[in-house]
Amino acid sequence: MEVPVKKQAERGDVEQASDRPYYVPRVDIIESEDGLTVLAALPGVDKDNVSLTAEGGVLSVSGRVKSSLPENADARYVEAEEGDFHRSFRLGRDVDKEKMEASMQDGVLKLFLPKSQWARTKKIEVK
Amino acid sequence: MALLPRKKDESRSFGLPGLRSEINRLFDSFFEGRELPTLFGERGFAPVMDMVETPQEIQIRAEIPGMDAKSLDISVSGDTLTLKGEKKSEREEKDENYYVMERSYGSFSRSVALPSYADREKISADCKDGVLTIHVGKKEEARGKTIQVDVK
Repeated sequence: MEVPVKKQAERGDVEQASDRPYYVPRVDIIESEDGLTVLAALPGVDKDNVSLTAEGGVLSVSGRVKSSLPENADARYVEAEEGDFHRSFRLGRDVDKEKMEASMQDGVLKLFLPKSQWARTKKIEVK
Repeated sequence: MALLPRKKDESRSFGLPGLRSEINRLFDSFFEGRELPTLFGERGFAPVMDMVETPQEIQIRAEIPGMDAKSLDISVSGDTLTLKGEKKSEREEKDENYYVMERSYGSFSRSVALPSYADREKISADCKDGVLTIHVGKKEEARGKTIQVDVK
């Protein structure tokens, strides 16, 4: 069995304010008729520590992981050092930015990006 | 259990300064080779885990975002603690189209060897924000200290 690896962000992608590693959260992106649903895995992040910004055509998701290591702990085996999450996505005209919705549960961020009117399939009737 | 070196993410420069386009990321996950994402069906996976020790207890942590903690199976046999679970896909066949499916689904089983001073009678677990923490108490004589092992 391969040891699981948490994907680390590359230096250029994120302005690092600390020494902690930045991880790129795994996502599922699902398209439905109404829009896109993005499910991002952010284990260890609670609702109050997620930040979502949409600016200049870029949607950024950041999650801060509060250290959950007990004070006098000795690490015995570590697969991934504690670190925060960050990932960015391009947002095109097809997303209605005003109507984005987000919720967080069990370390998974669920983001719904509704399709803008422009992107919705418009049926043209032939008279 | 050895401490394994962190695998360095292979960087591929596409000449884009700073922010890489999302399309590049999509291609990366197809060509990375380590795991080929499948659009249908399950693939094996294992949650990221770690083990730390305090004077009072041993803590084993596993990242299981989006998994129902109640569906987990934690058992001890001898000095081996095994964590089993299954992450069911939330996929509903009908009107959905997965553009990207990086999250893992399927069943997993991971075992860790507990030290001899672990107290099998004192195991509990809790889960918060997708992180499962298994608390393993230490036998009376070992509590209050972390055992140092001399290398001769």
